[in-house]
Formats: sequence, C-alpha cells, structure tokens
Amino acid sequence: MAASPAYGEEKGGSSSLGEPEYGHDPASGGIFSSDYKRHDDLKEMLDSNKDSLKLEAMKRIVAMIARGKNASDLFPAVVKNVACKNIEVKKLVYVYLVRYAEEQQDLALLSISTFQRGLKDPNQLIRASALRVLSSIRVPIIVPIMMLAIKEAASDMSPYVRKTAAHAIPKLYSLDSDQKDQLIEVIEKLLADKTTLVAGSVVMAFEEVCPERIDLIHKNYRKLCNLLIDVEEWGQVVIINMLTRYARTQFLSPNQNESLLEENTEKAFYGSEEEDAKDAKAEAASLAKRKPYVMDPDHRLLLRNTKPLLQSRNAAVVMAVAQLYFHLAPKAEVGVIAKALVRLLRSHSEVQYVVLQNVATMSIKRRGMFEPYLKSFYIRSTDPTQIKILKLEVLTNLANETNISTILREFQTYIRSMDKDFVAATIQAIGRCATNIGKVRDTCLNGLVQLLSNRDELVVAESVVVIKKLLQMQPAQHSEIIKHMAKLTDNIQVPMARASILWLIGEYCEHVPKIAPDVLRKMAKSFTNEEDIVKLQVINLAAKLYLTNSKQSKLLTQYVLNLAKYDQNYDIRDRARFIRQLIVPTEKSGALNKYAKKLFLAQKPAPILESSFKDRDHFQLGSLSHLLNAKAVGYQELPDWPDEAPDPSVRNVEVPEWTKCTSREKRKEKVEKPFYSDSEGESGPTESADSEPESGSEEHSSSSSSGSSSSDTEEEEEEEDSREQSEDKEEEEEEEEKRPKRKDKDGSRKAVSGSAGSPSEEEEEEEGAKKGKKKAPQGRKGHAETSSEEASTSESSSSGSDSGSEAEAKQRKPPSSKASSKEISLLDLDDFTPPPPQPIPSSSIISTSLVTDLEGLTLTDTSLTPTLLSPAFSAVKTYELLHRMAGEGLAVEYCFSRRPFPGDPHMVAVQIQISNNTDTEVKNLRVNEPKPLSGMRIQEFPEIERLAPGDTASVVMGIDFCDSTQAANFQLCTHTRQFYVSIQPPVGELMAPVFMSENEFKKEQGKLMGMSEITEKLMLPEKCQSDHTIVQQVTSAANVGRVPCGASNEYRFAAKTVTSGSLVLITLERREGSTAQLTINSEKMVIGTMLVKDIIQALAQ
Amino acid sequence: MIHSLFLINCSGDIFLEKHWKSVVSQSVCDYFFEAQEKAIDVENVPPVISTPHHYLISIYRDKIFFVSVIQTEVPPLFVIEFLHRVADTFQDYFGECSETAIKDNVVIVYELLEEMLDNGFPLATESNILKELIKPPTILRSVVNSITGSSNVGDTLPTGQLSNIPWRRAGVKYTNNEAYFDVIEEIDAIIDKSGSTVFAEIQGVIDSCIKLSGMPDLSLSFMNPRLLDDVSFHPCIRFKRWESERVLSFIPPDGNFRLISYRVSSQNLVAIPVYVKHMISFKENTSSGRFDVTIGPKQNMGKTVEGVVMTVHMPKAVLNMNLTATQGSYTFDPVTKVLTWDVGKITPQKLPNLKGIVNLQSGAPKPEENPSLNIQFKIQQLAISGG
Repeated sequence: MAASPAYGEEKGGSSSLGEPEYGHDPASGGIFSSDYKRHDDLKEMLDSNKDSLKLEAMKRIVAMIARGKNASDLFPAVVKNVACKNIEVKKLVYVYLVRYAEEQQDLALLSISTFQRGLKDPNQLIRASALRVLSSIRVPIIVPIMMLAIKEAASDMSPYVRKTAAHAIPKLYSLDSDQKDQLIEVIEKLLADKTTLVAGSVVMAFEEVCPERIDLIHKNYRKLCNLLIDVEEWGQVVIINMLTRYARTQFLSPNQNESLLEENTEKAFYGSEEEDAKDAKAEAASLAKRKPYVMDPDHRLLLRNTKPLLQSRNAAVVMAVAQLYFHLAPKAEVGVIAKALVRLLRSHSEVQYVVLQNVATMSIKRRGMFEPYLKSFYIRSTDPTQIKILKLEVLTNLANETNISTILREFQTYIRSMDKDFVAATIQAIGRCATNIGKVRDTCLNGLVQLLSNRDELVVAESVVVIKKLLQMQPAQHSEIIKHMAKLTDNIQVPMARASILWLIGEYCEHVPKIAPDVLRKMAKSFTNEEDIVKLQVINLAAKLYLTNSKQSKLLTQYVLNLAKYDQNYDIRDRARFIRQLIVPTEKSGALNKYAKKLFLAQKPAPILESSFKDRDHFQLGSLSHLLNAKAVGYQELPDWPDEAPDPSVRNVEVPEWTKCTSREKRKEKVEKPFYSDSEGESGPTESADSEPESGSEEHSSSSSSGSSSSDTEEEEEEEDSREQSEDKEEEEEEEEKRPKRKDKDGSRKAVSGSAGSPSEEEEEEEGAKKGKKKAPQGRKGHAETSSEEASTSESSSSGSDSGSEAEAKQRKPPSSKASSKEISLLDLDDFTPPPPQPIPSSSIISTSLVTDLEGLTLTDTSLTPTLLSPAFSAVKTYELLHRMAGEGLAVEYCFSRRPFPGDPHMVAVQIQISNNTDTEVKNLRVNEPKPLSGMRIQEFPEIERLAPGDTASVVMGIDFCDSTQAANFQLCTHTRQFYVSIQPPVGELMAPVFMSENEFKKEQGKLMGMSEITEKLMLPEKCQSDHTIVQQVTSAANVGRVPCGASNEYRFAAKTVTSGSLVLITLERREGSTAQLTINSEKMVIGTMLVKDIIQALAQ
Repeated sequence: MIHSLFLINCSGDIFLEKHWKSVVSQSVCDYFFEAQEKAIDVENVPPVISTPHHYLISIYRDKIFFVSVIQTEVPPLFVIEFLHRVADTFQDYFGECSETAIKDNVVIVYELLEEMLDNGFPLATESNILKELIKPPTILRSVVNSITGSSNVGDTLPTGQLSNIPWRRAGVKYTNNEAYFDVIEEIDAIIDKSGSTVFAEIQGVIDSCIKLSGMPDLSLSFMNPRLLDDVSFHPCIRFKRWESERVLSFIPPDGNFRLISYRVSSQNLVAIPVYVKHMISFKENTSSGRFDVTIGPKQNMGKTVEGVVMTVHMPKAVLNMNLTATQGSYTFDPVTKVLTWDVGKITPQKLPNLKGIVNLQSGAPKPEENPSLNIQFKIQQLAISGG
C-alpha cells in the first residue's frame, strides 16, 4: 500500500519540529511553487474512491492541524468527503470542518445539507453528532437552521440528543446573541428534563446564556437537588455553583444572629471557647429582638444533598461543595468541609495551590475549622516554593495563643531552609504572628533581632523590614535594637532594608541622639551610589535631624539636599525642593515652616500586618476571580443574603400524577435502580421524553385520571425521599383539590387562609396568616400572568397558612365552618385512603357525591385490568405505555397476559388497552417502525381502523424480548400523530410455567449447580407466613408454575424462559422463625439474579 | 469554558494545539513562557496566569505542560482536574504520557480530545466510554487496520453513556473472571533532627483491576472500617451503603481504576519503620566537611524494608562529595547539588552506611544548617494502618 510509507515519513517529520512540510513531499518543487503543489498528493488521495487512502490523507491533515500548520487550502477537497461512509474518515472530516469553517464560510455551507439529513437519522448517535458538528460550525448564515435544529433536538426522545442540544445552546448564543429569548425558552424546557444526563449540560447553558434568570430555577430547584448525586461530576460542579448563587437570593442567612456581633468582636476571637461564649451571648441578646431563625426546608435539602459529594474523587466537586457550605451553611456545620479540603492537599501540586488559596481565605473567617488539622499544613522540604508560601499563610492565619509556641518552633526550622524566598516569607509570617498575638511579641522580636546577625543578607534585610514594623508599635523600649540596626547600615546592601533602617533612625532619632547624625554623615558620603528608595529615606532622615538637632546636622542636611537637587531621578529632585522649602526658614517661606516639626514627627499609626487573603471571600470561593483577587470576565457576583426571605412556595412543583404510575415504579425497581443513592426520586432516563403539560386545565384532567394505585406508590416514594419533601408534596396535593374552588372565589388570600383552620384557633394561625399577607402581592402578580402560574400562587397561600407540622395537626381537628369541612374531609381521605379523588375542572363545587366519584374511579380502574385474562392471580399489574397527556387524549396501557402468544411460542404476549379520551374519532391506530434491539422481534397487533371517542379497545401483540429486560421501542401511530413508546418487561414475565414432577425437578436442579445457582436469605414478614400468600406472591412476581413437593416447609416452582427455553427453578425453603432461603437455578444468571431480587421484594411486601 | 489547549514540552516547543471554539493564536503562550522564566524551576510556574484577554490555566505532568486557554470565569480546579484527567487518559491509552507517545498517536489524541470536550465543556471522560468510542492502539490492531482499512473508531453509542452506570461498558466478557485489589498505603512523616516525629499521617488507596463479565455487583468490607478517617470514592460506590453499613458496594468499571483513597486519622500514633543516624558537619575555614549517614530498620514487623532511596539537597557551597557506600550506589549532581543514594534492601545484620568527605567552595562561608534528608522506602505485604 502506497499510503503507509508516506505516513511513516510524515511521522518522522513530526518528531523533528519546525521542519518545513514540503520537505517530505516529492511533488513539491521549490519554496515558491510549494504553496500550489505541496498538497497535491493529499488531494489525490482524498479524491480516490478507496476509503483507506482517504483515511490516510485525513490522518495526515489532522496531524498538520494538531501542529498548528495551515491546511486551509485543502478545504474543497476535504469537504467533499463529509458524506463518506467510513465513520473514522467522517469524524476526521468533522474535525477539519469545525476548525476551518469559520475561514471558508461559503464552502462550509456545502456541507450543511449532510448534517440536516443527519438530524433526521434514526440512530441517536448520528443525530447527536450531526447536531454537534452543525452547531460547532461558526457561520452566521446558518443561525436559523441551528435554532431550528436545537429546538427539535430539545424534544428528542433520546436524552443523549437532548444533552447535545443543551451543549449547542451556548454555541449558538456566542454566534448570535440576538437569539437569547428563543434560547431561553429552550433552556426552560430542558431545565424541566428529569434525566441526569441532561441536567449538568443545561445548567451550564443556563450559566452562559441567562445566569440572571434565577426565576427559571424555582420550579426545578428540588429536582436538581435530588438528581445532583447521580449527575456526572462536571455537571455537579456547575450545578452546585449555580445553586450557591440561587440559595443566596432565596434563603435567609443562617448566621444572621451572630453576624451582627461578629463584626465588632472579630479581632478578639482567638480561642474557640471564647468564641462560643460570645456566640451564646450574642444569641441571647438577639433572641430578644429577633424571632428565632428557622431554616427553610429547601435550604436544608441543598445542604444535605451536597454533603456526600465531599467524598467525590474529583477535586473540583469537593471544592464546589466546600464553597457552598462556606457560603450557605450555619456556622456550626461548616466544619465538615475541612477534612475533605485537607485530603485534597495530597493531590497534584496545582490542586494544592488552588485549595490552599481557598483555605487561606476560609481560615481568616473561620479559624476554628482548620485548627485540628494544623499539622497537615506543615511544610515539607519537597514542596514547591509557591505551595510553601501558601501553607505559611494558612499557618499564620491559624496561629492563636494556644498553638503559637508550636507554630513558632516550626517557623524556626523554616528559617534555616535553603529556599531564600521561603525564608523571607517565614520572617514576614513571624512578624504577623507578633502583631496579632501580643503575648509573643517580645519573643518574636528577640528572635528576629538574632536573625540580624545571620550571614545571609536576604534574611537580615527581611528581618529589618519586619522589625521596623514591629518597633513602630512600641518604640520607647527598643532603643537598643535601633542602635544595633544602625550599625548594620555598613553591611546591609539590600535597598529596602537600608531604607527601613534609615526611616527607623529618623523616626526615633530622639531615642538615639548620638548615633543618628553619624549615620547621616555616612549616608551623605555614599549618597550618590544609593538606590532611589534609600536616597529618599536619606533626605527624610536629614530633614528630621535638622528639625530636632539642627546644630549638628545643619550642614550635612544642606549637603544632602544639594546632592539631591541634581539627582537624575525627578522624584528625588522634587522631594529635595519640597523639603528645603519646608524646613529651612527663609523670608519667602510661609506659615507652614512653623509646623514643619509637627508635620514630620507626628505620631504615625502602627502598620497593621494583615493577610493578603483578608476579605477575599466577597468573591465566591473556588472561582477564578477569587484566585486572581480580581473580577474575571463573566463572573457572577455572589449576592448578599436577603433581609426577608422571598416567597418559598415558588419552588413548589405541581406533581404530575401520571409520572408516578405503576409502570414507572416498576421500571425503577427493576432496571434503572438509582445507583448511587437509594433514595433519590426522579431519574428515569425515558421519562422525560414526554413533555410536561403546561396549562392549568390540562393538569386537572390529568390528575383526575390517575389510578388508584398511583397514590400509594407516590406516598412510598415520598417517604423514601425527605421528610420535608413529602410534606411539601402533600400540601401540593391538597392544593390541587382546593384549586377549582378557589378559582371561583377569585383567590382572595385572606379568605383562604381563614378557611384552612377553624376561627377559634386564630391565635395559632396568626403567624401563618402574616406570612400569607406578605406573599399576597407576589401571588396576585402570578394570577395575572398565566394559568400555569396560577397553581403556584394558590400553593403559596397554603404553605403560608399551614407551615409547620402543627398546622397539619390543626387541620385534622373538627372544623366548624361548612366550607372547611369539605376540605378537611378531603385531606383525611388523602391521608388514609389510597385513591385521592381528583375533581374535574368543570365542576365548580365539590359535591357531596364525592364518595360515589371515588367508587367510580376505583371501578374504572379495575375494569381496566382484564380479569378474564388473569384467572390465577388476583391482580395483574398494568403499566402505562402512553399517558393521556402525552398522547393528546389517547391513553394506552399494557399488561402481560401470561398467555402463550398465538403463532409464535417465543414471544411474550402483551395485552394492550387503548382508550380514546379525545372528542374526535381516532383512526388507523397501528404500530409503526418497530426498532427492536439486536435479535428482538415484534409482532404488531392488527391495525385498529377507528376508535370512537370514549371507547376502549384491547389488542394483543407479541414481543420476543430475547430473554433480556431491554425495552422494546416502537412507534404508535394514528392517522394524525405518532408517539414513541417502549415496553419494558419485568424479568418475571420473560418466562412461562412448566410442569414437572418432584424427581424431574431435583434432577434438573442437580445439573444447574455452581455458577448457575443463586442463594439468598430473607425474612418473611408476618403476613407472608401462610402457604397461600407465599405461593401467591411468588407467582405474581414471576410467571412460574408450582411443582409438587414432599416437604411441608419447601415450595418449588419451575418455568422456562420464553425465547431460549432455559429452565428456571425456584426453591423457597422456610427455616425456623421467619427466615427463609431462596434458591434459583438457571443457566441464565442474569435472569436468576434479577428474579431473586424481584421475588424477595414481592415477599417482603 | 475551556477554549483551547496547548501542549508544550520542556524546551518550550508547542507540539500540539487544539481549539474547541474559535482559534486562539499560539502567541498567547508567550505569557506562559514569561511566567515560566520568572519561576526558577518548573514546579513553581503558577497554575493560573492572567493575560489581558485570556486566562491560562496549566498543569505540569510528565515533562509536558498542558496549557489551557480560558476566556471567562470558571472554577480553576474544574480545569485543572480536567487536564489531569486528559493526562490520565493518555497514560491509559499509550502506556505513558510522553511527548513521543503523543506525537506518534496524534490522530488518536485528537479524536480523544474531540470526544472529551464539546465547546469546552467535558463530555465523556470515563475511560470505559472513551475506549468504546475510540479503541486504544495495539500493534495487532494497527496491522489489521492497515490491511483491512478498518478504523479505530467505534460506530455505536457507548451504552454506558446512556445508563445510570456510565463508568461501565456493556457486554464485557472474560473467560477467566478475575478481580484484583491493591492496597497501597503511604506514610508521610516529618521527623526532626533528634529523630522524634513532628507529624505523620497515613494515606492509602485501593487500586483495582477488575476483569469480570456482565454486570458484576461487588461488596468489599473492612475488618476495622473506623480506621478510615476520610475517604473519597470512585463514583461507582454506593454512598448510602457506606454511610449505613461501612461496606463498599459497587458495580465496577471494566479494567484498572482507583476504587477509594483514604486517610487514616493522625491521632493514631504511626510507627515509622526506619531510623536514620546522621553526622553531617562542615568545618570552618577548611572548605571541607564530613558526611556520615546510617539507615536502620525498626519495628519492621518481620517484613523487610526495600527500595530505600535517600535524596539530599546539599547547600549551594558544596562542590563535590567523595563518599563510600557499604551498600547500593550514590550519585551527586554538582549542578542541582542533589545527592541520591539508592540503598535497596535493608538487612538488619549489616546496616547500610554512607560516609565520606564533602568538598566546599573555597572561600565560601560554611553552610549554616545541615540539609534535610528525604528517605523513601517500601514494605511489601504490610498495611501500616493495621486495617
């Protein structure tokens, strides 16, 4: 093959960098012709019809791009291959296209149609990659096409495509910011998506396009909190940072009581005990004035759900959680992050660098947090200097009266280090410790003075500078030190140190009256050779001496000023002129002369040595801006806590009842068990394919159709979730029931809050009512907006009125007014009976026929389950295929009839129940384009010609699932619409019962030992002790037949998988007490494992 | 987020560039070179550099600088962590993350970078997913590819990308099902001149190599889980189980990965298994000094101490060293002033010793302080935490 040696050569070229490209090209003639000819061979290869040649050419081109060489002249030749069949060629063409499309816009347009075709491809990977490349081509003309593609992809069935759509949003926005409004709509839609895959990407898009639209988050806040742990790590970082900002606008400061006093007493805090005492006092003081702070449950939810992420392996996630806790958590809880941050100090040095910067800022505000980890910040001799200096910063911040001696001992070691920059930083750190902690000031000063005799000039110089600052605090006692330093002027050459010494002598010349003029004499001698800062200080010294001791120093001063007059530096000349005028009395000089002494020898405030990290926390921690201590482009300010909490009810979400149908629950248990956490709620990847209903009226109808079993499962779910959440949702349900009525009353707020409780309990009610009033204006605004908003406003009133658990209890008490009695009965029903009766929107008043309504609902529900087909089992579970909301009035449910499918024994029969809830006839109902996974087969049901409004039809279709629980996907078509649906079988439905004798059973079981055997122990709950219930539970969980058995404490079942006919043998042995052992023998291990879980679950219920 | 990436070798050549948004000129790296010059050694180059129009965030790995160009606010750790992930991926694919490996596989590198970021936001960073998208190069495959013209690029969407277990690829099959766990514990200790421990802590990791078919669900329990003070997990570990039962329960990725890393609380006293006797002195005015170091084992719990290496940064005034080692070999680099002594295994019968004369620059004042000694060693089959 001709291409491979050529490529080999190319590689050789790439390793010797900078060599010209044409050197390897046999076709090229000279330097001047090379531009025209050098890529001829590549063009030829690209034009050939062999994929391997094309691939070779593309590889060489990509290698050129990678090295930053210009390959733009190949554009026409490359773009032709955009539709190439070979997937690697195609990918490399995409790489090329994205790189050069901006430069060759006209030619790039040639490729657009290929991507538009790709957007319609049945393969989700191709749809996604087409959208990805299309949106990456930065050609302004195609903005409308991109917009359209994004909108379409945002409602794609595949979450992967929707994720790609979310990625495309910022791309389009950077290309044309005029599209913002439309893009926000798409973002809003994608924010409602319930898959973890999309969540991170869409929040990223939100942050780039419309970070100010915090209102879009309200409805999705709880969902994001709950999904967080299952989102991929990069998404977690973005979401946590966004939620930090959100929480700052929506909740009250958890430390509001302390924060007031903290400001005044901050400096006094050294020990944590002291701090606690003060806190206690502060609380006591503020208790009188303020009402006690109660954390918003949503605030708590965020803190609770982010905490486990401190254990992430990704340093960025840990940092994100740490900053969230630092900015949002109550003081007492912030401590948890210290441990995780200290752990990061073991990571790469770049990570350490960033973490230490943040720790430095945190340790100023919350010293106590890191004190237990003091030793973790000790410096290792192998640390890079920049890390050492940051650690030193942290150590200094952590120093207090109790640990200062340990820290100083450690500092003593550091001073002997060979790294001079680090030594200098250590000396400064000692200075800071000395200023902050009065107790050790003298010790530090003595230590520093000893350093003055150090042989290293840098050390001495740095010490001088620090000593100067320390001496300023109490100069009187230290004339000895000043004398000592005066002697140093002969040896020290570092300008800063010389300048410091001169300043000190000048400032305290009264303490050293004999030495000072002598120093000036020496300095005058060497004046011309000094650095500028030293010269300035010499002038300064001269002036001060002239004022205090003019007899000895008059001439010297004149001399120095004359020298300075002709200095090269204008600052020095300027200063000399200024000082001469000021101090030397002449006839011209004005009134200032008299005050010269006061001007020069005024008391100067001692400098405050403080950390460069002080007050950096006004930047969001962990951000680039914080690191640079300057606002970076695109930085979003971290808002201050609000004084009054905004309406918390905006986060209440209408729980769409239908998402909680049994099928969903089933699927969740069987297939996509929430992996990381056991409790999070809505992470169904397929769930969000259907769009959420927006208008209020639709929602009413949806809620009325919810089955009796649905509310059961819902409540279970809630319990699993958080306590707060379940409360919220209960409230929401109440609200839904109340709503129609309230609409009639035109939502008068006061009336509502009154009606919720009985009038006799008004005192208790007071607080709630107050809240309600506060919210009133917001609520009204909502009313004016859209009907979907209506829901939230009515909720707001309720959570205002019945906040807290006492309110709930209150509502159970016998009511006095008639209006409330109905609602309370509703509530009770909601609490104690499974099916929540949902009022129909048209009926304005809940009639007394509520009970009959209820019966009606349950009746229809059971009639949906075809009793005919399930003779042996009390309940066959029905699953939802198409909800009536998603199906625009067409509701489809399915169940596994457990009958052999006529015509093909390898198929599972699926009974499908279609009901037409629209007011028009539905025609030509059929299955279209089944897209089975490999090996899966679908036998469609015969087309239903027409289905009259209100009618229900039942058909059977067969699916060969290939013994896997993978979903079968297909389209359900009517004459107008088509719906993507999928059927996911529980593992128990993938088999059919077989009947065998005990001996046969034992024989077969003997063959299926070892790997094929799965044994699990379980506890049988009390109600599941009887033979009958055990058999019933097992047979309801799986389609198996019972095998007779000699022993009374053993139950045996047998079945064969439908497709492959592999045996599945189940043995349940009851042991003493309520324990039991479940054994499943099957060569299909996956089925066996899943079945064990299902059966155990069925028995546990 | 991440705008562009430049890979720069130690001599300052930009040997690879990749842009995810519009092209940023190479000249932006001049700011980086400036900072690099200012910092004397490579490890002191600040990871974040601010330039008039961009921000540069860089990491240094295996003698390569990964310099990324940022235009707007982004958490710096986000970028740093990602860049390290890129370097890890290269390591995983090519066995090493060196300049030559990257240059030899430039097309795969480019394809990887293309998949890992979309518009500057990380897309697929799990090695299992990437390996399904782009197959790592092997000699066999490159031969087959050149004959058949087939490619390294997978044409199906990795199932992991869609599932709740994105770290594991589907359809794994092995004839021998094996799982290996390496528990590696490191003591990190600072010991003062007199030999007493100033600070010591134990850090550990569990590295796993899992070759199991299907979707294995594993649990790992510890004898004494309370020892683990602070733990960080691979995303595959079910956090709730750990919280409630202190059991690691997980569906592992396929292949090699780090399961957990942990820290053993420093409250527990750590016994350092070696000791050092040292005698280093510089004589005044003779421009020479004596150097005598002995390393010995203590409380080694019956295990041999091996792989002992001592490195010493000698003071600048040291010109040369004439030493004799009773065991192993030593080198002294007169430029960096680093003395390295590769000791090997310590046998208690005959303690390794290194002694001799230090030559100082004539006329230079004697170094004030003795240098600090860094000792590294390994002990097989011993968990120092006792867990």
